[in-house]
Amino acid sequence: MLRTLALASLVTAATAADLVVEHFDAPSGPLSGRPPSVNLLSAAHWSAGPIFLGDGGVDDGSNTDQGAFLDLGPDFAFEPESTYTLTLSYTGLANAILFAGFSTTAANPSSQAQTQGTNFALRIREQASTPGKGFWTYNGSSTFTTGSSASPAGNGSSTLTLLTRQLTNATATVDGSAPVTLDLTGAAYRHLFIGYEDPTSGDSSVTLESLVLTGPASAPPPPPVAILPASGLLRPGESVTLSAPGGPLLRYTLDGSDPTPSSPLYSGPFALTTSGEVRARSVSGTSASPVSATRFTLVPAAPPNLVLILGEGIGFGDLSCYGAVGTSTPRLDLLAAQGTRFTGICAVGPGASSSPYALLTGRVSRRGDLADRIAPQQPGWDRREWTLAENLRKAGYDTAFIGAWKLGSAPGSLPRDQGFQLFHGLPWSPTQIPAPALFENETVLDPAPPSTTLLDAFATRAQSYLSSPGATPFFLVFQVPSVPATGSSLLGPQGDRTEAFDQTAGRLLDRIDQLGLAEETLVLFLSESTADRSPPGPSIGSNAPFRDGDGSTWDGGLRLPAIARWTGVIDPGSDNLAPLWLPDLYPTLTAIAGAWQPADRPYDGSARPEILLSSRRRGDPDTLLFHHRRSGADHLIPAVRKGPWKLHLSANNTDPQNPTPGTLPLLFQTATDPYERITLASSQSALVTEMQAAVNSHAATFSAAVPQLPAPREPFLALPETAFPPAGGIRITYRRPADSLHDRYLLEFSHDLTGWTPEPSLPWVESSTRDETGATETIVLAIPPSHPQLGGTRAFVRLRSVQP
Amino acid sequence: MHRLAALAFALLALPAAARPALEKPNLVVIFLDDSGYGDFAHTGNPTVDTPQLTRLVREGLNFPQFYSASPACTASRYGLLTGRNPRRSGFGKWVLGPSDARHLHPNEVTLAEGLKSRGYATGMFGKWHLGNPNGNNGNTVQSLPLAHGFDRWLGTNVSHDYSPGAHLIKGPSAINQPVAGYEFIAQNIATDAPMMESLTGRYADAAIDFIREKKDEPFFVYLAPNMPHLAVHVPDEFKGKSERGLYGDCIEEIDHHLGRLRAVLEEEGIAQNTLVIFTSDNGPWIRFENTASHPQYGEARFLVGSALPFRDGKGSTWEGGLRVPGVWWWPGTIAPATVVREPASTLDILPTVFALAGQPLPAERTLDGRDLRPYLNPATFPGSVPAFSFIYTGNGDNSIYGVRQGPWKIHTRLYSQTGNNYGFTASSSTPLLFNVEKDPHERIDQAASQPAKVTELKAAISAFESSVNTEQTFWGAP
Repeated sequence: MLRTLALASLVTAATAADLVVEHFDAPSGPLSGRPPSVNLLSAAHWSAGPIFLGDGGVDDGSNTDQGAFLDLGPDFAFEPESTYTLTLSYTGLANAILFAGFSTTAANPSSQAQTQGTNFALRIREQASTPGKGFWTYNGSSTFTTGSSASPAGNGSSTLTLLTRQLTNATATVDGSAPVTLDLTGAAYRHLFIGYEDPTSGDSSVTLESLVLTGPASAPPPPPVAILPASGLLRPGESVTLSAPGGPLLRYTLDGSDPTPSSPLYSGPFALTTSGEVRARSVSGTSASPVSATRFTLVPAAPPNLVLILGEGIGFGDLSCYGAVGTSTPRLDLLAAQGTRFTGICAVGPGASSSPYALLTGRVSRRGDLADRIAPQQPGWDRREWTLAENLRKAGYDTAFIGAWKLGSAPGSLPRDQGFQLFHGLPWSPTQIPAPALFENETVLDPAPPSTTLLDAFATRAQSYLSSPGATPFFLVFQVPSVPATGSSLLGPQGDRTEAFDQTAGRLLDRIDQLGLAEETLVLFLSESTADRSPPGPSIGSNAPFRDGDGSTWDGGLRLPAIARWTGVIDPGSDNLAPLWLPDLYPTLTAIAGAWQPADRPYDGSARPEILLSSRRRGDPDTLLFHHRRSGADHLIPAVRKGPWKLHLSANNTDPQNPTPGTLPLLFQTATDPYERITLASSQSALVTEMQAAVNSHAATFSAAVPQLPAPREPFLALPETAFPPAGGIRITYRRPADSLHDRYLLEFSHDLTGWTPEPSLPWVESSTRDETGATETIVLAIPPSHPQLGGTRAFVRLRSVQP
Repeated sequence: MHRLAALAFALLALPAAARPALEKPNLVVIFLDDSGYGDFAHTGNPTVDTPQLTRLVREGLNFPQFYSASPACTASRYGLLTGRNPRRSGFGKWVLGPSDARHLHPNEVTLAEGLKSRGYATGMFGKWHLGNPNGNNGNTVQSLPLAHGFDRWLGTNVSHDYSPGAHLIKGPSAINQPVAGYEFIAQNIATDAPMMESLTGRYADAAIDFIREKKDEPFFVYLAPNMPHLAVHVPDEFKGKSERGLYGDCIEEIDHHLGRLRAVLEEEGIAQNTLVIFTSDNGPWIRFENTASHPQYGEARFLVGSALPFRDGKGSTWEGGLRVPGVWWWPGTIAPATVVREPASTLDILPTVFALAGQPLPAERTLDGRDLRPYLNPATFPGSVPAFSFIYTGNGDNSIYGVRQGPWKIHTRLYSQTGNNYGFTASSSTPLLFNVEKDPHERIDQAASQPAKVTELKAAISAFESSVNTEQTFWGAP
């Protein structure tokens, strides 16, 4: 496909030749109806745009200089490293000067713009009185200029050849003017102007017979560059690899700028010395691919311990490092000074189960068919959910949940059923009735723990967990309920709760630091829900500067205080303004741990380790997030965000002092208007339509039945096979669903087929391989001949699923 | 031998005039114009990025409950520079325009005058707004900063948006414009966008030059940017820098210069000798919070800051009119991450700084500020700070609107430039009562349930009123 840009018609022509000349008499396009030749001095200019008064650089002060514009159209852009030709033929040049150039604006280029290169690419000039001079350009070396000379009679034609590669960043001085920089590919130089000037008599009549711009063959752009590792995480010794099908040239940058023809050529995998962004594009002949970009974070070789410190009911304005006035949170303030403080993390929506479900599954709770608040001793989520804890278990993590559990307390829903090896805490919220007992795993420690003792009990247990010489790395979820506390907060009882939370979190952080684990541990604090603004007060929490509070989908109900620390990886004391929603944390933490997640269910989050680890601190304009709310039996998607924009399709106000600022739908630019005060829906109707369409597409993903989980599967996908190696012992090979854990299987030995001695299968796992789809896994257990159970005259062994 | 030589050079490299940190500490006051409490990262703004100020908070002292002396420009600046309630100014107005006759009275003793008498070099860089020479006052030189203790001044006489009448002036100068001792750098700058864009940077540059020049003697720098008061302007290098838009660009430019200033103090080895105070004159100008198009200010609704979590803004004696950032930094004397929960105000700066400098408080007048030194470092400065008692004055003649003692505040009058009283009414006989610590947004009037507290606070207002009426102002009746 050749692209020919003929000014006469602006048609795209497919021909076999590289260059095609078309003349003005082509009848289509905005020029239709024009005469076949144009008198530039006549009133009938062929451009609808403003008239160019061509005093470009000649500076004779004449006001007879005239010309015209032609808009090459919104799709026009010079391709990089390409050749263009511009051919003019004219009559009546005589003493006049004819010139042409490309500009980024349709405004009349002032002579200053022309000489200084403001929005202006280049100027070519033809002057009959100086035959042989040909075209001038702003590149005084004429390296990209060819042209025939004008005939003495002032009739002739000239051709200019442009090589955009050479134009790029060329600097030249013309006529003693300031240097200009020429880069035809960097901006849309879509306005071609033709100017005419008669420095002597001012009455010449120049007729342009033809004027044709031809461009390069417009081959489809080469495929975009794949940048690996896709996780954006670089461990010591790992390199960045670039590739594109077909082996085109690859150019890349490390400074965040888009690659240009002068950027380095990729020659092989390279290492990075600091965290940063790699941007790359492939180049093939005359065209280049769109830019691919990956932001890399340098991380240590070993996966970090992961500690999630989760609060509830603590608003954005409740921590002193977020501007709290009447509460003092020195421990979290210090964590912010040691790590990164987020201002763009948001929940999916109201409901006590929404945030913990999103965190542990990467999904919106509607996909799991969860109630907003799960009653005591009721089932919550399905056993088939595959949690973050299970991902991490499979990667060798030890997992623990300490605190108040919110995702169901019937068998199958409890932490130990969902991937946590240790559960210490309450199976439901202490505010629910009946009051929950305090458990350690399946054992009741205290049937009626006073709420005033809970935070101390959780902190003490968390400290002992951290100090225990268990397996590492570990994953600890420390979910602290909001309980009445004694204290001296100026805000009163609500402030006392927040300050008690801060002190409790501080005990955990102290222990991490005492054990010297700060550089091996990623700590993430966040509040799962915001301050409740429905009571009249006094002493209610603050979501300032955001509107409304918990239970609403105004930002006061969604934006969460959050702080991450990983000493040595996250820059201390930084703020991170990028948006992230809770479903993103599941794939993000999975990636940071180098763990696996199944691909057999829909997810809502995407892996953003570059944000969590703060090598990226500003949002991108395309991030799309959805907010959900249940209203009775109905599921609503009341709001959607795209970059900084937030569209409200419905609103529920819980704060009696929050008046809805306008009529739905409401569109806010939440970066310039984080208070959601000024709706721009009427002036941004295209964006409203686009975002509404995004909501419709998202809503369509819920047309499948819930819970959206894979069909139940057998623990064994085939009969296990046994083998007896010559050296003795037993080898058992079995296939199982990939989302299974070793400790869901039990080996049992017997000598008489009546009594069976159980033993975890885990110590004998020799290999574990996933098939190509990642859905099934083949396990080989190798029981050595030295195993004590194999010592007798005969032994039986069986492998049993103990999956709950 | 070589080692001895090296030691000698090391000694020579010490600042020639190094003095103990507590001896006549330098003072730098950075005083913004119309920023809101919530316009900074450390006060919870999600999209204004102010790392330099956050760093000061982490290394220094934060007053989460810090007040400006008044919800309006002139009155607030009066309070800062004199330590006296604006009711005592005698201005009869809370904002002095270019042609008002009155100005800061020569009998007032300012921060600059007191420190100058202790040998400080004093420089002011920024908006004055405490008088202007004009026909109504005989073009008196008493109306400008050099008459009030400043050795050097570069700044505007009034807010930069007065059109005409806002001029960029410097002194001392022998050019003698508009009055003896000064010269115009630019006149009527409200229509001069490039000039307005340059103001913040000019002041910072001048302040830094002044510090480098005076580093070996005690100095006081009063840096009072015109921004982010409407019309908001920033130079090209800050345009588009902030996610918050132009308003955020403006705050981030100020933060950038704060970082430069701090770096100079450290480079010159005088950080431990310098108390830096960062605050603002009043709340955000929410009068324009819904203005989509303004001939002078443009799309003002996006150029107004936020007082959240407080109610209302500039002009009002709802808390949003007077709550401002209060960050104090003095490495070596103020411990890192100090948070003072008790309320304080800009009125407290003069008594505190005079005590640090060894300057007695001015006699024959009442000061309303307190010596806050024990808050800065209780070991170095033992003792206690008197209880906070703050009289709110406001629209338009600095008349009395309320009082706060402890967590309790009464409103005896209400005023908002938005015209919104949020469903409340107040009068001297039936004031509103709020606990502004438990209820910072002033949602719940507790007057009916706390009559004794109301009576006590009404008495505090009466006492203040009779004190001012008895003492009078230097201009006569208040």
